[in-house]
Amino acid sequence: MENRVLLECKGVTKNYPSKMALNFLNLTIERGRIIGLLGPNGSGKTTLIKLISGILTPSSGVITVNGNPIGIETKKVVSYLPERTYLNSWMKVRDIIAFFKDFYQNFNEHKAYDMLKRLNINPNDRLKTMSKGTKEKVQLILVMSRDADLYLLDEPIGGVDPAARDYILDTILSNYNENATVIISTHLIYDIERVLDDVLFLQNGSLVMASSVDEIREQQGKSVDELFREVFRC
Amino acid sequence: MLGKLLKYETKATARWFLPMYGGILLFALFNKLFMLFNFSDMDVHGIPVFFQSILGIVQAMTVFLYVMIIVATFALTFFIMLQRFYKNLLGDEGYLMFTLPVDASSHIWSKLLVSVFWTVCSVIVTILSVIVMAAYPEMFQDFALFCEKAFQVLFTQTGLNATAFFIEFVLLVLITLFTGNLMFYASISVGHTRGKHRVLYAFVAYIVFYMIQQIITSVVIVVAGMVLDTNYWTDLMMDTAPTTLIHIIMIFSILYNVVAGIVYYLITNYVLSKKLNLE
Amino acid sequence: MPWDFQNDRPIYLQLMEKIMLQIVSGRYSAGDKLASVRDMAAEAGVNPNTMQKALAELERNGLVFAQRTSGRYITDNMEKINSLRVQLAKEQVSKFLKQMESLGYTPKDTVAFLENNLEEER
Repeated sequence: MENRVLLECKGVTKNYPSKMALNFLNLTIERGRIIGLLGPNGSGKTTLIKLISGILTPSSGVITVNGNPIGIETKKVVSYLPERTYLNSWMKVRDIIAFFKDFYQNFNEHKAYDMLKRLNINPNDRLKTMSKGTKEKVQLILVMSRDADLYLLDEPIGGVDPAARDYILDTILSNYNENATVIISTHLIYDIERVLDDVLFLQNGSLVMASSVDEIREQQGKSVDELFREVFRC
Repeated sequence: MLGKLLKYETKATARWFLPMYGGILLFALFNKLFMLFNFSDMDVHGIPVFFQSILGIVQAMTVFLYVMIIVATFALTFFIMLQRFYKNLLGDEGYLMFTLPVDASSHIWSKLLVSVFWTVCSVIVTILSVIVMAAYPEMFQDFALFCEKAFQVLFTQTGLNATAFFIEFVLLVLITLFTGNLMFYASISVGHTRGKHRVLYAFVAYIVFYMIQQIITSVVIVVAGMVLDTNYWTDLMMDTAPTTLIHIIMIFSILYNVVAGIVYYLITNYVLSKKLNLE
Repeated sequence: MPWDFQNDRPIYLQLMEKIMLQIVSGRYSAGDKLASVRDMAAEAGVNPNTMQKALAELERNGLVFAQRTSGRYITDNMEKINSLRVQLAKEQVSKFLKQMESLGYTPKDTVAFLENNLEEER
């Protein structure tokens, strides 16, 4: 039987000099889910995502993806969209696609060009000349064009207009497959609640709730968004 | 994967160096053209003094610019070496580089090899530009003659093994380049392990590394001096030809740099693979 | 265009209701083949697993049946569809009666009021 467990965090702690960003986090995530990672600013959402993608090292604890500790094997199957633009600005979109294709075996070039076309982005444009919004779209295209096992999207709908937000959610849904899991971190729950299976609530570096969206609605008689506002009322 | 990294690293840096190299060679050519004209001759042909002095100024300018471009190129070599490591790996672009399925050592080697490559290229281009300026029909014969003379003075007369010395020299220069770069990488990496003031800590780390190297060198010299002072060694030294001593010093310097380089490499690799914290 | 959902109830229940309404209103006819879960989810703008759950529930109710290889179909059992229609109508009526009651109409008053209204419209 195929192992459905995709991601496991065991006692993961991350200390920064000034504060504890994650506090002994235990978490198991299966394949085929779309998961909302929710919490106020500074609750540890970005830290967790960066730990899984391997650009942060935990202070203690173990993270595995497909049973492998974070490393080359996990980086092959994890597709990460950071909350910032990280692409070399002197490159053309075409060059970056070639770059991704060179380094990721699971990168689907046709899918990338298809999505660029649908968004009217010229592959010969340089990133330097693009607006921030367009750059973010290019990054999303790159990340979603990989046939990965785990997609980590950090605040993908943060500062985008409603049309772009719908496009992003649409892209996530149409790329869904039952072997892959998508983790979306956000504090704008209302917009994405309907696309989520499960939600994880983080507060001050601890997991305060892990539940399915319908469970919350069934048991609490309110949307996740409403619940979130209650739990994190400040 | 290292091959792919090298390809992109070369691409990313070539757009800085190739224009500089073009500039060096172009200005060398200008200088050569100006040298071919002899302005005092022109006076006879009735060119006004005023025009002549302008030409003189232009000539001085091209010489000045030529020198400046060379200086700038070497400054750039240094700056790009730091910038590619600090910004491309440990800055925002590191988000891309460290999510590639590539291990930290490949990242280090790609940065290192390409940096050394450009340093060597800069030296070669500078030499080429000098050749361009100095070129005259019998240049190569004369140069060969000069080499022969120099060879005689340096090697035949002293009995130094030319091939061995040449290999040692090239090795030493190359390894010093590698170790020098790695020393900067290790300093930046040590700085990276701190939460705040990473650049400041990188400076401190560099100074500390430098001092440790100085101390080790001094200790080695003192110890060597003490050991060599004993009767047995003094007798042995008397019998040893000074050329052998040169070889010993060269080989020792190479080994010393290799060891230092390995230590810096290990520090860098440890930080990038075990202590990475991109903010 | 993504569908609208209320906040206080599970999304899968609301999906079920919407599909039932589409069956009764004739947008889907008896025996029609349904689009794939993924397409239906994309149309509604919801998670495929949620759509899957809604369809599985409908399957349990016998309104939808799955054929191993070719996908899901609307039931061709007219009796079932008719009884669903009646059930949905009942729900609407009881809701309506409740609201009329809050306006001060007893069920009897409501019936009388309705009849009057229909007369006038004619």
